Amino acid sequence: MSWSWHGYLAPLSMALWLLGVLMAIKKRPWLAFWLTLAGTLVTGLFIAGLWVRLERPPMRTMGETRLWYSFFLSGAGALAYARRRFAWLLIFGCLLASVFAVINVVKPELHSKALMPALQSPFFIPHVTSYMLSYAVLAASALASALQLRKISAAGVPDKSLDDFIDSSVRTGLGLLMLGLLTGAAWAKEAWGHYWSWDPKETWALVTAAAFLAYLHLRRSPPRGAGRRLALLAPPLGLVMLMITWLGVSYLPAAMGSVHIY
Amino acid sequence: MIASPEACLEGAPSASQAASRSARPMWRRPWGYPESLVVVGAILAGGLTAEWLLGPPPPLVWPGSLFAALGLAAAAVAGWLGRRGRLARFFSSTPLSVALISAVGLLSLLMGLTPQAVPYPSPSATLGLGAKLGLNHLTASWPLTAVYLTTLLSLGAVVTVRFSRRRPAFVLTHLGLWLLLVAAGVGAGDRAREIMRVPEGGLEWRVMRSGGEIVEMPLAIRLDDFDLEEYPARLALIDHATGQPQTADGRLELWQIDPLEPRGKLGDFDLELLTFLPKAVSVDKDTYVQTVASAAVQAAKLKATSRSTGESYEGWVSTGESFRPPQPLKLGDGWLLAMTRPEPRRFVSKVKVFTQEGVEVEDTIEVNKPLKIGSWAIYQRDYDSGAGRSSSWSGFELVKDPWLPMANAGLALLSAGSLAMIVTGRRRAG
Repeated sequence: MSWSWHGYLAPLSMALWLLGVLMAIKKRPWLAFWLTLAGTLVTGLFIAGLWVRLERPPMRTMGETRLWYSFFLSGAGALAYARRRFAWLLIFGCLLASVFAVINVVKPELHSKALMPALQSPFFIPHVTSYMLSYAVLAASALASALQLRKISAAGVPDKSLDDFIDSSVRTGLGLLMLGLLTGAAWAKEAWGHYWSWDPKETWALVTAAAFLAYLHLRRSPPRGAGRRLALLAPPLGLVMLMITWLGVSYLPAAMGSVHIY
Repeated sequence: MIASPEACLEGAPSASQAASRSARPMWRRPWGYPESLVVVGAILAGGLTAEWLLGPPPPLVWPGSLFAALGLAAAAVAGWLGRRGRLARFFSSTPLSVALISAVGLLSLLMGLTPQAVPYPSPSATLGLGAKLGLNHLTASWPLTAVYLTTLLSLGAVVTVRFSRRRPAFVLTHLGLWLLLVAAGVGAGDRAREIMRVPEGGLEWRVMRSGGEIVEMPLAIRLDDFDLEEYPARLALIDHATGQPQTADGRLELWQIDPLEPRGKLGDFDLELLTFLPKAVSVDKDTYVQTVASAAVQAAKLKATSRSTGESYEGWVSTGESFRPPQPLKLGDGWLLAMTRPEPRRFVSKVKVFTQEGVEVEDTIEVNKPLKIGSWAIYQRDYDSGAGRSSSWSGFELVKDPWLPMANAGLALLSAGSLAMIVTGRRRAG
């Protein structure tokens, strides 16, 4: 399955996601779940086909990481919807997944088979997948925090089920982020001789982790006055840092000579 | 102040408590957020002042690093002994953690936004304000060192004072992070990395440092063979008049040779791959044959048809080699079709390593597969990329890190803690 198939399969995924979202709005939860999941599986099928065709994991270029992000975002949205019935989560997951699918259709990048020797490592796949999965989960936690902040300023009290969701998604997302960081460290040790070298992408991943760590700690014992609101600011801030880590680092003057430019 | 849902959280004051405590003066115990922020702010200010007055901190080396690590461990144990005391409580408190996380985040943000330089420029260089305060070499500066040390003291106290068998994720992440940060930070001065270039067939035991200083190593490497495997090359169109390659939207337009997909488009031309030889030698300009020799080139026979004029051209293109220039295919008067330098798939050095202790090891070294011998690990670094497959030397990086076992233990615990966090994600935070 070559990259040109994406032009047909991406619209199919997006159509299924759109139907899933419509069913969620019409309060047909199981139909919504299965339609969304079908869209995710179509994207997953394309990733698998591309993997076979390229004879390497499709995780090297920005376009390829966007595929995984679409896959995980819509999948996480569907699963979280099945568990908690947050329609906004499904809508958000599918919308963002579609945005990245459209970027890949409009602006496909050079997709060669070449995988440089440093990337040929057993750590490559766990490193990239745990990051992409954590990005999806943490993005959901940031949106939920923003919703919660709005609820607090409108109603004065936070929503209990949203609170639970934010707590568990930050824990899961941060755990995955740490696993991405640690597999990266172990890999760097095998490839370059040191597990941490202040590469700009590493530095920004640390800033991202710090924001979500701040949430978990502030949640334990909120300061007086600002209360819960201060903690709720951390995930949206963390999402901004995360997007800089993933997409923005390449454009920063500090990133000259980074091993993560692709 | 928001009331009810926080009341169930540990340490969260209820609305009435908050009202009565809102007039609490600074520095009354137990210290909370205001005091933590002031303490961490003072530590940062102290770091900046130290940098201004003293210059960058000297690297900590053995046995100083060992004493520092033992001191940090002793501080953690002392925290446990005095766990009811004010100091241990403050160092293991959540407000101090938040203040330290914010400081680390802030310093990292600064590092992520501004290019970082070497900490010890030449004495004659005039230093700007940022350099004097350590802000352009943060990783080796007093401000980061001060925050790092305070973080280690705090983490050590958190682990010992708040240890609980019922919270495996909490203990594993904090203990793992403590071990990793001690090994990485305190052990930094004991790490050594040297670059050694060995000629094919030759023996080398010296390394050259960046200043041009030549140092003898306790081990020697003999390079018996260097082998490079390449991906199929890509093709580019070169403008005959300017010598510039064809671009589209500012990016080089390239066509990947792929026997599975023999047809494609490049610029104005439809291309068809007729033959591809990954290792070839030329008999003459129009004949290439397959070979196993290491000094081989990639060669492809192609047919190119111009979409605007309908004219078609057929012939060989090849990559160059040290004694032979690359062969392009002329497409009329306007364009040349040429192969770009192929990307390496794998490069391997077959070596024999001798140590001063008389140990001899014969093995291969490649990227992601270093050779460990004694206290050193030897990494494949580079080769003569201009010569490609016929590179006459191989570059190695020699790395020594006596603190690696501790760092690995920290990595393992932190990974287990992260997994535990994911598994217990459904439970309430804290």
